[in-house]
Amino acid sequence: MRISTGNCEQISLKIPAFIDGELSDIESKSVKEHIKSCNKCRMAYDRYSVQNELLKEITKITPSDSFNSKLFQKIEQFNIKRQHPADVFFRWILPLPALCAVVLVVFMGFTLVSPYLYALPGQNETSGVLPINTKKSLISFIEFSSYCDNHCRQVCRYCRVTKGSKCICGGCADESEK
Amino acid sequence: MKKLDLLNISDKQADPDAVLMLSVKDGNLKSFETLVNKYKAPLLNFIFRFIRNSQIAEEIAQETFFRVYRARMKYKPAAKFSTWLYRIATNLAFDFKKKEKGDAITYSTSLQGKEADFENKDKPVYYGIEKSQMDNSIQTALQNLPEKQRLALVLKVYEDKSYSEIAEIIGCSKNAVESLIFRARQNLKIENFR
Repeated sequence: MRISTGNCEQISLKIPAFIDGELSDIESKSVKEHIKSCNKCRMAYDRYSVQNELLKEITKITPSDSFNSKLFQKIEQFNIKRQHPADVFFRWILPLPALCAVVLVVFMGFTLVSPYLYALPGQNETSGVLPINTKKSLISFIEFSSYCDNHCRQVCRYCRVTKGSKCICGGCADESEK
Repeated sequence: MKKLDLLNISDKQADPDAVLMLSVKDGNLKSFETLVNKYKAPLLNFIFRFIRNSQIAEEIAQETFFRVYRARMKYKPAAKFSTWLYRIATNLAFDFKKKEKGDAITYSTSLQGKEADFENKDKPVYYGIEKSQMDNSIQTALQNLPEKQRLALVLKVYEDKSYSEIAEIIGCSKNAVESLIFRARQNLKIENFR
């Protein structure tokens, strides 16, 4: 882009970029020609040039002796955390489903056991009736099929004794004969 | 750009830093150390001239390299490595400045005691240098500039970045950089200017 050499305001805006070598050849030529003939812009050019040299005189600082060691220590710690995905699996991922499975088994067991343990009529209420061998234990819920038969017989017997109902399970008659 | 493209480019065209960074991507820590040794001093000085605290500048420089390492798998050689590096450093320095403005009292309290320990070689070498009068004048003049003007000027004068690179680092247009540097030079007032 060509800049009009007579346009002082336009040229003065370009002087820092001219010093920094950021102008195209045509623009640089325009600025150079203008500076030769314009005192104000030449003073600005001199001022920015000296300013540039002054800025570069500032003393540099050097990194500390432990710069690299601290950095690579940080990197090492970062890498350790990311290593051994198997450890991450066994430590954080596997226990969760295992815990859920345990909770599920305990819950199911309790669901199956609790009617057997708590819902049946007590021994005193069915006096005179032959007791069924209802052995209570924590693993009784495993014998689910026999549990159902026993439960039906217990309830049926209870109703016969307390309310005079007829047997509906078919097992009470056998017990009477015994 | 794929790795093969870099291999086919002549030595003059290939960015040596990009080659090293691709090696880091493959897990070569030695290449990363080479990059660190090449850039730690200029990067430290760049950050120091922006925030004027050498200890914090060193922490920010270390954090910059750490973030480069952490993001190594995402590195693409299309962009110049130094531009990427300085952009990360710029963002971290800006974040520090924002935090400093909102936490001025806590910051000044935390510095107490640290400034006295200048014999320790573990700290950057700065104490005696900082006290020179011209250094102080220049640093003060730079600190008095608005942040973006200061940043653009420091990147140009000390890091010799082109206006295009500065635009990429700061996140603005090339014309905006030209304007920033013009205003920075106009506003820069160095005491004892001879």
